Amino acid sequence: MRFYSIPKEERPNSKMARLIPEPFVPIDHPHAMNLLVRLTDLPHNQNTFPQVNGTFQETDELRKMMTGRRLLLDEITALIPLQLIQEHVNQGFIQYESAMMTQPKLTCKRCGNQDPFLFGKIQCARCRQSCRYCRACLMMGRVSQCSPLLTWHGDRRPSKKEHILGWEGTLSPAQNKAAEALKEQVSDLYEGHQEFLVWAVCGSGKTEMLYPAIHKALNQGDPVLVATPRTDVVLELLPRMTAAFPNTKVRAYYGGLEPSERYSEAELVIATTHQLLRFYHHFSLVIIDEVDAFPYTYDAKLQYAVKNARTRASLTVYVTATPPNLLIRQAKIGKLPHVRVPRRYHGHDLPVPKLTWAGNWKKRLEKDRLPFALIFWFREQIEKSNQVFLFVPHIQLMPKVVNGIKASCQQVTVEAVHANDPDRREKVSKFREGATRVLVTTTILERGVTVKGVQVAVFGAEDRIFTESALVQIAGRVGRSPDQPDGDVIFFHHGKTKEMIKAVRHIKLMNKEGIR
Amino acid sequence: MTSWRDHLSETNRCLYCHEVFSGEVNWTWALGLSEEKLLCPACEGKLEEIKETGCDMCGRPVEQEGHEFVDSTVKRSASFVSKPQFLCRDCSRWGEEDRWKNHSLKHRALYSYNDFLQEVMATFKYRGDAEIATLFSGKLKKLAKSAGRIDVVTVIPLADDRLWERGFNQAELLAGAFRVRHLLVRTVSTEKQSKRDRRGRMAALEGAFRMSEEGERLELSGKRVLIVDDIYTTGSTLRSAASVMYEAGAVEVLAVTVARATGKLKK
Repeated sequence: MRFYSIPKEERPNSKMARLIPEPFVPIDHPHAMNLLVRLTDLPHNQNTFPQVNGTFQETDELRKMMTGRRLLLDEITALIPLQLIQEHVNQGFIQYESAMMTQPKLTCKRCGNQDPFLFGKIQCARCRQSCRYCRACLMMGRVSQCSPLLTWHGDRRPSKKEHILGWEGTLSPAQNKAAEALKEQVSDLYEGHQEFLVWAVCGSGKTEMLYPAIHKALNQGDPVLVATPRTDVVLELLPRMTAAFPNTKVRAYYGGLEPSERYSEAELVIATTHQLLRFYHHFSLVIIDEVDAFPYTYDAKLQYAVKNARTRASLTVYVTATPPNLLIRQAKIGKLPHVRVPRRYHGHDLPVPKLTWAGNWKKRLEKDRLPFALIFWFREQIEKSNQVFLFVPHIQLMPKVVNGIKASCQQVTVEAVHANDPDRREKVSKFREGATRVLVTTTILERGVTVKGVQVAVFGAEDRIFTESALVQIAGRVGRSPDQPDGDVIFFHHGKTKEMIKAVRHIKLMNKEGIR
Repeated sequence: MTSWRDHLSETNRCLYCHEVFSGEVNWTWALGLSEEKLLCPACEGKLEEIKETGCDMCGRPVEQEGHEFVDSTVKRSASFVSKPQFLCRDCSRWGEEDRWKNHSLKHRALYSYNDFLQEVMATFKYRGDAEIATLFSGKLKKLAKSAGRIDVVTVIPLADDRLWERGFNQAELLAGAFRVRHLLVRTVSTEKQSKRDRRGRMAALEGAFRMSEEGERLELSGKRVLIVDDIYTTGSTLRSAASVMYEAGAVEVLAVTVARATGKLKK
């Protein structure tokens, strides 16, 4: 969309907004049509907006939708007429800004994309000229060179209400220590941007450790963000958080929500990476769950999203069992304050993986047969009537592995799941209920899935996909319940890799530290 | 977990899923004879190219169940034919109508409109990823070659409000390889066709188009006109546009689209 930028001599006083959207420019205006510009083509310092008019009664709907967010004009006009939006612009409550930077490098201001491959070009019907658009964040509404982003500048109205922590469990000593250390970090005034790492083993009860810190921040009137890698995890966290904070507005944002839910007001937000992009300078406490598991690990995209969503002076907390090397290094040299929780909440050791040589399994698999070592282990598990997770490196191997299991162990129920499986949720819940004995899976189930008394085997553990962190996470599936704190974790391989050895060392080290 | 070797060997990126993939290296590639691959093999494999048409008129793919009007022993091509012999039920029904007794609308599509193509078209049209048009524009030009002499190429126009909403006319981008004349305009803003059933579509499009100023100026009598659009579902949009051309004196109107609906989509 183009705007008419009113020249100085036409404005009676400097309090007037300078920008009028094209649809509101009178057709008979003498030279309006020649002066229509896109925001990207306008020098930044020319976008002056009036001061917030305290006497103006802003629309509730608009305030709820826009507080803490930076949205595309199209997202708002889908629900609210442009006329009303422009009124709020004139009263200083809303400001326009360009959604793209063309200098020094073409950049999408919403998602931070700079990759030339991920920009398209069209002859735009709105700005009537060649117009670039971002292909990287297309699923959230198209950002193009002529589309404005809107921010809210009205009163923040920090809620002075008392938030209740409704969680009544008790923390283990190790959990408690971490929770207190984290709570200590939360303050009402940060000196710039601060970071904190919670390095907690799988099954240590990470979510519960976060409650005191979240509670403290909420009571200071600060909105809190919990960012997680996958929609599955968002949906799992939502009921727990809602139960823990009964009088707080807890909202989950993930792809596929209806617009009415997408822009709802929230005090505690649980969101996937993409949904972070809608928030702007809003959260002073950001918790990134499973920081190493984001689709693109902790790379530029997530960093950009978090940087935009948090306020300038804020605290970002990384929570994970397997921090990426960069964070470990920073923690070790003392640049990143951190706390370690090397013990599970039930106090038992983490099961240490065993490495078992499986011979040339690829060759055997071609004949739909499994290595003997795996068959023997399988039979043993079936005799004990245990449930088994079998991790495989690639989707393509799955049918052959399933055939192999069926051939060597009759009357055993086997299912296979992978990331794009439409029945993924049903299959996993069937396994949880115990209806399936063996679940063959790719690495998608490496985190967040808790099944009581499950045993784990990794088939072809020497594959590149099984990194140290993936293997540690996989081993963390076992022995999570206090009734059955132990179990088998076996890496079946055709040659040990460094990653396998590092994973075992990592787990042993955590166990050793936990005793102290 | 990709190593530097992968990046060295994989230079292409899929236009739809944005993943890197390695193009096939063979003699046609070395001699510059092969087309540049825009889709990765995984995405390419999900497209169902129409290789044999069941109906000579509307270009319905042959595999379709419930339309046993074709002798399966005869090998049929995907290109336009000059004398249509086999007609599907829908096209015979159209032929019974007065104004279609002496005129025809031959249509060919590149692909069957399956679930995957539906996603691709949604990304293209509704999400607005205009670059996707480059996947099809060259192929549409090739498909139109079998139609013989074409004098004028035009596209189905969008209503002004829809054009503003989308920012571009998808049909115009698909026709990027042709020299397009804008012969038509919409008389009224119609609801999205994708939300209607067959009868609703036909009723809604009665007189939906008229000649544009450019169209009025252009002498159409005796001309063969090609219309480019995105999806052929019942053909009512294209027929409604074609009847305007026939009234203006066109001798034959043909159409090419990217996708031919086959009624097998998940709802």
